Amino acid sequence: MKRPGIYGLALAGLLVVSVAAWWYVSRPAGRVDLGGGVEPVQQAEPAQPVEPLMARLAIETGAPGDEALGIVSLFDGRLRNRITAEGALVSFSRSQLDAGIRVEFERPDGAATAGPAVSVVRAPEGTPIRMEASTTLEVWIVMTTLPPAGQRVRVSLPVSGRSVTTDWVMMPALPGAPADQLAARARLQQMREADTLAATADALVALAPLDARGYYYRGLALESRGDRAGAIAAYEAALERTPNNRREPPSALYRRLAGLRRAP
Amino acid sequence: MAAGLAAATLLALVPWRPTAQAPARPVHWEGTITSVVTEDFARQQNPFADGVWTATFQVRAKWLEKQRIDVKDPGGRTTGQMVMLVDDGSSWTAEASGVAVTRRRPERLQLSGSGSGGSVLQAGWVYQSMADDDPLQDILPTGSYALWTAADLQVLHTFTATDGTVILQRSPGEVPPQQMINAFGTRLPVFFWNGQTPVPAAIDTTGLRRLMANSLADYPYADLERRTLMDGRMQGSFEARGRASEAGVTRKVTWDLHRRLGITGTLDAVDAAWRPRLAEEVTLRAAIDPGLGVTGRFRFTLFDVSREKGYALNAGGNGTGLDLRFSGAQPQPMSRPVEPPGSNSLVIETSDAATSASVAIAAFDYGASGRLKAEVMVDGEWYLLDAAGGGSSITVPLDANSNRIWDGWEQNAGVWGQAASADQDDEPAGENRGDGFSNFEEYRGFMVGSDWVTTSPKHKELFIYDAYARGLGYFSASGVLTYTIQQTQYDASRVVNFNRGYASAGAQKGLLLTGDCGLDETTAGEVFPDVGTPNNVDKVCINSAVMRTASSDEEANTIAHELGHAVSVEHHGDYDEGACNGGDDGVIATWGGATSGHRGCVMAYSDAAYYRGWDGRCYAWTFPAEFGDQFCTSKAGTSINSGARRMEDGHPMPVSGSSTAGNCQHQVRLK
Repeated sequence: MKRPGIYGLALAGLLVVSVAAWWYVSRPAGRVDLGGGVEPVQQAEPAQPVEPLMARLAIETGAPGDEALGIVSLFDGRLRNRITAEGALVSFSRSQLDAGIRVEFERPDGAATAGPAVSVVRAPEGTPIRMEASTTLEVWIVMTTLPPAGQRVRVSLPVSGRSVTTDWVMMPALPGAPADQLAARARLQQMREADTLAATADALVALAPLDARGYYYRGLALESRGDRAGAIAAYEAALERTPNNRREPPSALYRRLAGLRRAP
Repeated sequence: MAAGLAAATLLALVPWRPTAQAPARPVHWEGTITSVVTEDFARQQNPFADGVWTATFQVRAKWLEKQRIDVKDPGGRTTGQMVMLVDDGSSWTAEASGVAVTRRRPERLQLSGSGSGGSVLQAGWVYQSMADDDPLQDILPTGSYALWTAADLQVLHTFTATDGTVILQRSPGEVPPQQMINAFGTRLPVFFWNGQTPVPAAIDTTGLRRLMANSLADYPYADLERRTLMDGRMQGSFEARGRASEAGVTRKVTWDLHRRLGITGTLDAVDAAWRPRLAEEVTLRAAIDPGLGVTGRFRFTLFDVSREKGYALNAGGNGTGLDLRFSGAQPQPMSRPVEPPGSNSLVIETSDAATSASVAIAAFDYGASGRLKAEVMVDGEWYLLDAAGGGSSITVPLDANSNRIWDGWEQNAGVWGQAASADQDDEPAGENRGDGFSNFEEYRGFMVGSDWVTTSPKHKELFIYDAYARGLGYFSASGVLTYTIQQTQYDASRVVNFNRGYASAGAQKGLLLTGDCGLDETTAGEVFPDVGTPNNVDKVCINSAVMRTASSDEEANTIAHELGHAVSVEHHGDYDEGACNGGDDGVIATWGGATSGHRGCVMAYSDAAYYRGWDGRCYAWTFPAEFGDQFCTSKAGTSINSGARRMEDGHPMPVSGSSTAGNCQHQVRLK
């Protein structure tokens, strides 16, 4: 009896693979077999894993040439929506985060493509963390290579061993006017509690002495250094330059001023 | 008029074979017979010299298989049965018209008439062979049949003379009585059984063969073709002409009759606890009544199936396929489902005969609805089964009031009896009812993240895309239930029920809560373009930079305050800005103004630089900031705003008194 040669075995193997592939592509999707003969007009979406975490991305830009700050906020959407009573247990691994965080761009066809490299500058510590309805965890990243203005961007990051992805957000345009550029830089520095905030505020005051923003940021910088009198003077200067015809008052300014005045 | 008889038999083409016993259940033959009789008076010897008269008889035949006569071969073996038919409620109507010219007094008459009646069958039979070597198969193939219809079916006729005289007559002497079908398909007068002639219990094949030779071909209106069942039906036609004195008479007869077994059964009701959910199934069972002892193939038809867009109000694309479909995994072998083009229905059949069958139906929309009927095929005929609760179909899901909402939801939600389009949410009670979503929409539900939720028709609900991501603060105190959804769960206009269709209350938007609005550095929050409902507000902004240095109470208060504006809630009152008593600029609280009323309300200003007391003078604000966490339900002042007017430590109290607006919870409007 003739034994099958190498070609025969290969042919048999190919047949097995083909049958397996045919089964795979023709198997019912999800829990429902749509049945033969009827072309479904609307497909049932495949069963998706229940995703407790919702992720949002906010991008803060400064002046041209500055790094951009990306703030990824994570919260337990199911808990906030009262779908579950117990929050998710969330754990972060800094090393996995550094290695796994990705910025993605949206292509015109809707697909995602890799964006620039980013570095994590702040991440939750002391994990695992039991999420509560009010809990928002933040992962801060900085981008040195900025996506073009208007580019839709999102971030994927590993959390609790799975990938969590933010919604798309549009990359903001950088300010054009020099005063606006300095104000944007100051805002970014304020958020990052940068020591350079005072210098930026001074530059803004020098550039636009009638602009309340420079004095406000100067007040913040002085307040953070413990210069109470200097901060009050700066906030008062900001108040003098703030128009008072708005629906909501400059409450942040009032409140800081009142707080400093009340302080012993 | 005479009656006639004719012969028939051809090859048997039908597999139907009776059992040797008489059926336990009634078996009917039902259908129509049409007989058109035309008389040409010029060719007849009658009172008319000329003219034509045409009478059309329509018979709705209903005959019963009454008795079976065994046909035995010489050895005593039963080789066939003659199944005897009797009338069982037939009815007929007739219309006649024509003209006639009288013979004795030449005059042209208009003739017309009509008639109706019942019981048209005099005799009939169907032969069913029961042996492969049936000795009669050469002359009586199985399925051979013959029918003898009743004679003397008259129509009332009216003569209208040329002078307008109307004569109503039933005189056979003037116009011959109209017989309908005289006969077709028999040479066996022995079986003219009408309930009076004794019917033998059995007849031998030899005698039957002899009777078959007794031709009645000379009868003028006989159908001379042999007739056998075709596809289980008696179908055919023939035309016969009268002879001699009836030479002008022509009869055209067509008939179509099918066998109706007394098949009954039921289609069970859908599980009362089942409601449609995406990709979930429900199984329904149909069964032939147990005592009938027959099996059949079952056919299930889903019809009036909904075609809502997507699978929830804010998910599933914009496809409008059938929302209920037969599952591909059925409890027993079944055919491929067929969707008749242009219909909202699907049909599926079992592959094998059985006494019962079940069908699995899958939902492709959370608001799916439809109706299901079940039929069973026995001996080539489909029989519609009775649906649970009466009627011929059931609703899927259970929907007694046929408003496409599962009854269980309506009852549990306390909206039974309301229209599907009603939008009457009244919690929290406010200036208007409703949250922009109809009962059907609340029932159909929304995708919230990766979860589906059905919302409440009683409770006002609001959807929020929270790009700010730090929660909704104290907004829950408004009494409005909120759902935080994903960006893609709105359409481009922030409409959340963008897949709305049936019984919609209209487009309803949700809110965008964001920290990215370009607010100036000192404003904590703002709503754009102005205070309004979610349908009018573009975005709710929180200054994330400011909030980085705020307390959690302040942040929660600020978020709720701005969200309050986005559901139409105003400040408690106005405020001024400026300097008092030579001091610095700041907010000046006014009597009944922004700081007035309930101090624990999120819509009340937490503090001010100054306040203008009830005495009209300006004073420094020396009170701690209060970040309210409630939505007030009255205008009454609390804490520093309460009590009678008085002076405390040189300051007029209360500080701002009751609010001008206030009762913030009542102001909430979502649409």
